[in-house]
Amino acid sequence: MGNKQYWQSLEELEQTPEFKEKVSKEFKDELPVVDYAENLTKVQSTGRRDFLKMLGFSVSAAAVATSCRIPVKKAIPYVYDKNNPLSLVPGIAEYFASTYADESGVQNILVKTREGRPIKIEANPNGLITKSGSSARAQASVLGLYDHTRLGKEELDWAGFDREIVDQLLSIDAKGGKTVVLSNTLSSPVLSAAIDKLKSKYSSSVEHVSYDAVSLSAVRKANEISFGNAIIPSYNFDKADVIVGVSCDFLGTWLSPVEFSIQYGQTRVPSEKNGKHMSRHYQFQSNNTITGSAADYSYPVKPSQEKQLLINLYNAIGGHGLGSVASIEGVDISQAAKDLKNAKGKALVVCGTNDIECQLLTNAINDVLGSYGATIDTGTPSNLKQGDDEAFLNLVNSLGDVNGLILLGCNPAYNTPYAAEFEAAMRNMDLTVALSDRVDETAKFASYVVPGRHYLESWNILEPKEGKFCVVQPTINPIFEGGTRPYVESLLTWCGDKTKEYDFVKDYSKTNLVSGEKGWIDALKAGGVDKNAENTGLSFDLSSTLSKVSTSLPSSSGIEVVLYESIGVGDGSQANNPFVQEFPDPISRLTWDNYLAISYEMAEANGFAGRKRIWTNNNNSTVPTATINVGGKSIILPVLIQFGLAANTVAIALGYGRSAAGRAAEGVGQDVYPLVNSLNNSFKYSLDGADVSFNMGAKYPLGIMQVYGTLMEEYALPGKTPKYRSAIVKETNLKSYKKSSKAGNEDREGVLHHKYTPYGEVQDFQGHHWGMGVDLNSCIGCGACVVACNIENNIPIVGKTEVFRGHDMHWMRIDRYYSGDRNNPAVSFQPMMCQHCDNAPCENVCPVNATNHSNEGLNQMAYNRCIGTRYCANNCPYKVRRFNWLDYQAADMFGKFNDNRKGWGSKKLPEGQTDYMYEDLTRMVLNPDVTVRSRGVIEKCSFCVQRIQESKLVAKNENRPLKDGDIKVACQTSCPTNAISFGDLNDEHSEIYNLFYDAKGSERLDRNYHVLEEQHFLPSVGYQVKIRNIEENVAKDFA
Amino acid sequence: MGWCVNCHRETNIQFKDSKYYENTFDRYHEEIEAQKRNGVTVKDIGGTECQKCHY
Repeated sequence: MGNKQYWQSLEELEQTPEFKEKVSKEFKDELPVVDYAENLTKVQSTGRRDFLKMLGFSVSAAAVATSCRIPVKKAIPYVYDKNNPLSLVPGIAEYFASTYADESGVQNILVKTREGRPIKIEANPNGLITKSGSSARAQASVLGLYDHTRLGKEELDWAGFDREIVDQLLSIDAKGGKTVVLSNTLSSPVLSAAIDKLKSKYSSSVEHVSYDAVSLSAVRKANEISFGNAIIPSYNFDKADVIVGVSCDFLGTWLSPVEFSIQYGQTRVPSEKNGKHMSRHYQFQSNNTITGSAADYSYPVKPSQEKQLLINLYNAIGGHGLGSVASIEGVDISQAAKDLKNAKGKALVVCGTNDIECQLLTNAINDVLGSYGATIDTGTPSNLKQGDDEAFLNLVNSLGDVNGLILLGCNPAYNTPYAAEFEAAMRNMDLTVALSDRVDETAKFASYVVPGRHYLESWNILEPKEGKFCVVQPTINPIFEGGTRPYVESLLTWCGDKTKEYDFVKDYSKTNLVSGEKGWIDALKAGGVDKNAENTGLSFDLSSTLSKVSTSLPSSSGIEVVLYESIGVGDGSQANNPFVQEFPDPISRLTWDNYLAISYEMAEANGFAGRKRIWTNNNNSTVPTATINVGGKSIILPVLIQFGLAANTVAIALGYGRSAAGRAAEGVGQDVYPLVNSLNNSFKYSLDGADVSFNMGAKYPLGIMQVYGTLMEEYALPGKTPKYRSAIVKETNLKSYKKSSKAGNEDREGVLHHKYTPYGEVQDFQGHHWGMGVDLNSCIGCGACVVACNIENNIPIVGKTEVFRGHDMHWMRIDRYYSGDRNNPAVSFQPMMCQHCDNAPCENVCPVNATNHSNEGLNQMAYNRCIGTRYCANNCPYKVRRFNWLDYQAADMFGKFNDNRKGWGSKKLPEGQTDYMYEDLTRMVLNPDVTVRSRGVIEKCSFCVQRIQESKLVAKNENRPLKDGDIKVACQTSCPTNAISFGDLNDEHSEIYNLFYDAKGSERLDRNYHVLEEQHFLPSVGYQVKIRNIEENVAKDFA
Repeated sequence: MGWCVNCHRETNIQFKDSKYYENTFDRYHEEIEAQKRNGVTVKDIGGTECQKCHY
């Protein structure tokens, strides 16, 4: 690995004394034991006698606690009808095929239900759009069902207000007025049919407008010019050898990221089997994204330079008919252009900017490269992102002429810059109805709020791509049945149609999609119907395309601002889901906030960086804030140094600053939707001319999950020379890997012979020996596994204050390492969970044997035994053990001892309020197979032992051997790129065995390695060396 | 601890005629073959480890 330097934070990069001190500790804050002791017993140090005194305190505290009133337990007997195979079997999960949709596309899912309640989202292997994995938000969405801030707890007088609404609609119609149904992209032929019914009922007055908070309408407009049809085509990243992304986070947020991640993953893993082939990916971006991190080459480019870049690229690949423009300083596109030209028919260029000219240029480039019909399919158009910016802007400009507004699950007063316009206009309208699950920022101005239902309690048909019909089916009876009504039923009722949602959806299917009852049942089982029409592609018109592109470049002054969707929070519509808030951003590792990301260069220029004046996401420290004045608005945000940002550019995430979304979202971050603007009738998510003034005296606490998760390496120890993580992240380039499969892993042979161990003989694993493999090439850092693990294993949400104190509970984290040029570093992701070491340093320090080794190689926890010494966490070299500092999930109703507990977000909980997990409804999300841990115990990844045991039992009962693939752990099933594999190391036919061992049964020396292997902990998790498809040596010296 | 765990210590599992155990626990199979062992208890296959039942 040479001298390549890896770093996780600025402190580490600069090797500050504070960092060196803190890296050697497991817990980011000082252990509070001595403080406690000082207060309680006035002792100065914690000797053995004092320890005994404190032990006395603990015992008496426990006695006080147990004398509290015991909470009422609610017992419900099971009624099991063995004659009906579909009836509930206690303890056995049932799975239902359904479909999840949000602003980032549609995913085919299986909903796991236990005792009739949905508890987990899994991928549907027969999915029409996605066959593996899911997004972090899809995983989190199950908690949204049990969100007790949803409307509908009270029974409504439906007939009464339906009559009033219908009267208003009729009177608007009679006077020749106008009613607008406003929605986000629906992709639902069923809802569209209901809207059409409404239109025909009130023929002269109803119109439907759709918009998207983060719009792609320029893609449709550009395609209308290029192809004569306003479509978004299907993209096939799996068919591309060379991929170029221009400000397009197609793995994280753009269009259909899970679908694209699955495709992309297929091209990114070179192996002996595929002739060591991998695609090459260039990314030009203004803000650092996971897509840019996955790319082989990424270049920071300012938003104002995107058009210039695309013109240069068009000319460089041999495009004709456009004038030339100056090249961008510091961005060399010649190599990308050369690779694209050589990969004609196997190239793909995507641009994420909502700008017609940029999209036209992208079309022209793809035409020259022969991408249409190869990597881009215009014959199967996408129905995602149907928002029409022009229609929406026209609506905003003519809101005064609108008499009635029906908001169909959308929130324009929050997620567009026109809050004031909507508020003013809605006050004067005859009829304002919000179909919403809560009184959100827009619904609060509406005369009627009609509570809707969660997708897990609804029927629907979605058609995300032409001909691909995906079924949404309910997996639970409506939780608030009398107080909520499906949107489609509301619309139908106002047409005078009493059809129920189920009947309407079923009738639609039977008329249009399936034949007979059997066809319908089959569609429900499979989760959809494929009616792919196999249309031929559209023909491209180059001259019209180029006629709308000018070579005049946009002017830019001052600092540029990029507004982006973060992977967790997205456009903010699910911001009240605390799993989404506590999900650390893959790049910044920040939770519970948005922030002003500034480049390292800008930080240095403003006196932030540098060894002497260092500050950043320091442990126990805070960051300055900045006031940003742009577009006539002024916003104050905390500042974070983000490596890889374009020069003179700052980035801010949308989706924060909700004011009426529920307790988890409110007060978290700042709303920057007011900064969204428009150009040529398309929403524009960047601005220039910003003025940023830093307030160095401000001390803003940021909840970052990273620095205290720094793995201990020798260099952290006093007196040792830095070794720069060579034992943690291993990387090589494709050229070297082609020469030798051992590339990047050359030292492993030596390490394996270095068999020093302070531990005795390694246990003999007779039965099973579980192991996990993580392919660093497939891993794109999307973080779906993190949330999947949270949900599966009842991992508590601790809130910002606790994250700030380093008390996050995530069993699995994705470490993010930077390396190389600090203005444009390479990024490596490494999922890190308990390594289940067979020589585990944590096990032998436990005084009560609460953590020990199983006969199947699992490092297991007995929570009841754990007395919370935290010695194990202190001794874990991977820093994966988590301590329950407080009773986060009401495990033992010690809530009253959570005295200084702050609520999620930064606010202290109001008097009398408790955490969500103290609410009966929220607790319905808990996995009954997994213990809810109490205060004072350690926990960590168990390799989903509940799934292992379940699969073993099924195999035993079926009198068959356990097959490879029977057990799929939660992180593995949520991974779109199949980066994680799991299985039995004793089974020679298993995938994991073949990752670890060669045909002769000896350790593989090619890509597989273990983290900190030289210490001989014998971890059961293997990592596959990351291979970058770059010409340069990855082991280049740190510049 | 008496109830469950003691039973796990004493109860033989259906080891021989189970396809599940056919290709695992080779040593136990050999020991049974060589008549060094009468049977395999729940404990022998890890049944007294806490996390075999408590997740």
